[in-house]
Amino acid sequence: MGLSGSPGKSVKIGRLRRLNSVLKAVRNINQLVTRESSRDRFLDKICEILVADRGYGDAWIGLTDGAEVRTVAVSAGDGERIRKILEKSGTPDCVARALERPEPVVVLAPAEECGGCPPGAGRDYTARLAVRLEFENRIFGFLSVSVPPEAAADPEEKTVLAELAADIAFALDRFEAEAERCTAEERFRELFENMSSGAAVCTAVEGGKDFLCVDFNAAAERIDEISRKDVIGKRLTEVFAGAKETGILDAMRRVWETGKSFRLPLSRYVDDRVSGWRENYFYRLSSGEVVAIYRDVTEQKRSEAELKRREEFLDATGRMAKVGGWEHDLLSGEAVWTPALYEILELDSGPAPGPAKYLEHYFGSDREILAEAYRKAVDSGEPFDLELRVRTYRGRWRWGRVHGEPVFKNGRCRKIWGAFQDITDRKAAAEELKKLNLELEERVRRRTAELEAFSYSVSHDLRAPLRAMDGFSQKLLEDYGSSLDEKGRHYLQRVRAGAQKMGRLIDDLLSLSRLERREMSWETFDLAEAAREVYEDLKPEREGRRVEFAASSGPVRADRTLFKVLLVNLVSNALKFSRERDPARIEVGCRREGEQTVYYVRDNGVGFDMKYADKIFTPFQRLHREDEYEGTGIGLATAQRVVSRHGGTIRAESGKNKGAAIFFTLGADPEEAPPPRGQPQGEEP
Amino acid sequence: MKPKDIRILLVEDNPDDVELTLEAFRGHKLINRITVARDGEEALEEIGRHRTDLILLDLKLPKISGLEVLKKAKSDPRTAAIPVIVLTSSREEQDLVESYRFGVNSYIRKPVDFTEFIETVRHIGLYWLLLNEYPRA
Repeated sequence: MGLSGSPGKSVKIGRLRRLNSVLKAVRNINQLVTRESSRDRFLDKICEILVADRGYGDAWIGLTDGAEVRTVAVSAGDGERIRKILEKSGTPDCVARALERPEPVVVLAPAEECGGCPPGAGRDYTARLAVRLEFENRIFGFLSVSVPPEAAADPEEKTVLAELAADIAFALDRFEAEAERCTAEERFRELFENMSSGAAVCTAVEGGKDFLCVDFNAAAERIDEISRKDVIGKRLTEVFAGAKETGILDAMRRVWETGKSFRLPLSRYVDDRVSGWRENYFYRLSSGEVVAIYRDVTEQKRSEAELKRREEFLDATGRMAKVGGWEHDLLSGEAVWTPALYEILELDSGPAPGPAKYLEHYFGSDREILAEAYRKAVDSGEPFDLELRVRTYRGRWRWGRVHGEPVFKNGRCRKIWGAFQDITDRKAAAEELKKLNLELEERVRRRTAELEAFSYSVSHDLRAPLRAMDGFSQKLLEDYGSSLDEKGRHYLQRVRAGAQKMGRLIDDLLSLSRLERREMSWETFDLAEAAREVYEDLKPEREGRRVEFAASSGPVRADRTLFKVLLVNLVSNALKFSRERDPARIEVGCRREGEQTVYYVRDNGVGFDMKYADKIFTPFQRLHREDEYEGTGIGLATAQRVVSRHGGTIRAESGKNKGAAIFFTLGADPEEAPPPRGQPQGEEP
Repeated sequence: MKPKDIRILLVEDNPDDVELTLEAFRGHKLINRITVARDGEEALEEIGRHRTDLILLDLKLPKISGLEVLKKAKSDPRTAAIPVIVLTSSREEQDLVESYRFGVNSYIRKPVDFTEFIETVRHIGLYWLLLNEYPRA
């Protein structure tokens, strides 16, 4: 026991012993400080050491945060007793007093002097000493020990206790510092791990020629698609093959050498494993390690590129189509133009004219039209779309299609924006087209007039000589017939026949050309009705014949006069080529074939060989000898002309002696025709 | 008025047609006093100078056209009552329409066939020279 209070021992020896025990306790405490990592365990052991090495009856340590005092450790044996007493009576007076002063507080008779103070351990240790644990003006708590009364009275003993307390306080400070350090480290570790940027800590090797990676965070793993275990401890050039080429290695060496942080501008990192756009920032730690902080901006770069590409695309298409965009901010009075509009209106640079100045480009009445439309847009939100003349900044006149749409907010027009399209070329083309059309019309008119003049002379002048031939032949026959023989009279008859034939030819040709010139007037009528009228008109041609005529009903949309010309030709043809039949049968009818109506005229006549089927619609083309069937060979050509003027088709079907049938269709009335393709027409089939 | 007193003016520039027309009239014994004018100018002079009861008018004429002659004759109150028969080769719709617009009394197309022509002339003679009543001068 170090603190024996037994009398009879020499004071010298006592002092020596005491010194020894103090030294031992101090040594053990200091060893403990370096070995023990847990504060509470440390305090427990301190209490044991103080009892075992220093020879106190018990030892009791409490800590305070400034407001409350809390027992943390007590020595074994009596410890539990003390704890219980303390729990019952709270902080004893001696402790409270000790916390307030630097020197230890002595309590010789705890039970009487100090409220709630635990009594000493055993019979000798009846007094108590309490001292605060203080280090660099910070009070951590207190140490209370039980001692024999004579020791309590010994000033030296108090000094020893104060020194021990100072050692403990120092150790507590160290613990606290360590705890703080741990917390800080943990905090920074978490920060490091959770930051969105990639971070790598590296140390230089070979004089900065390469780096070893010592730390690598989760974001870095993600960005570089590599696990940290494959990075840490490895050379940078080994793991990141692209580090040299992208300038990362150089930048790191420079940072390592100079200590100046460095931002590597946006660059593309490429190696065998990953590629992408990176933003790097390097700095040197006080330890000399170099830290790389980097972000993967590939996506951002991609969206920026996409945005830029779209802008360029819009701009280019705008330029190509000569369409510019404009916007007037009515609050600020400012205007924005797209580059295409700058180009169209030949403004080199500078601010675009805003709501106050834009009208200056327009001319005369166009200016008033635009001003009115603009005012309406602002007042009532009505958009506008106008074609106006505009003068560019270089003084050239252009035609512009000006489209504007107001934007309202809280019931007020805040801005107007729209498009400006240069339609000068289109206008010029339209003008040119108009001119061309007029020219063409004039040419057609001239041609028609020429053709009419020609027809007129044909009609008039060509017939007069024929009439003379026929007339004088006849006179010759009448007046001098008796002096001619049979043959002579026959020749004169041939002359007359020829002249008359030529007269018919001329007539037929003229009607054919008249068909071309006739103005079409579409109407709807019944097929059977028209066929019957035609059949009636052809009465002379069927004089004395037995003909069975049938006509079926059906609507016809055509020029009635032309349609009848068509039927006359077809029916008279049918009559002609069926005259050997008794009865002749002629049928006029129609039937639906898909979308269109097919009309036909059928007979039971001699028919024709199908190998000539495509020839029969050619003018003057005949398939029969003239002495078999008379005619000018113009009838079916006329029929075809009528059909084609209606936009239809015509064909013939026959076989030798099997009768013939002519089929034809009619096109649609152009007035009723559907609009041209390309316009929406309901749903696709 | 007896047929013999009727004065006909034939306006025709083609000598063949003149001869054949005269022949046709002769053939039907309807020969009256037929004067021939060879162009439009002569025709207008003739109707201005002599009484004319019927004009047979070709349309295609030198100098002044048949239509012009018709128009002038019909617009002059002194000659407006004279029946005018257009006798032409033309089958043009516009000629027909114009002729009637200017007040023609009849429009006849000369056929090539002489027999037909004689028949036509016979009809003209019958109607205009024998059946038709003229206002008293």
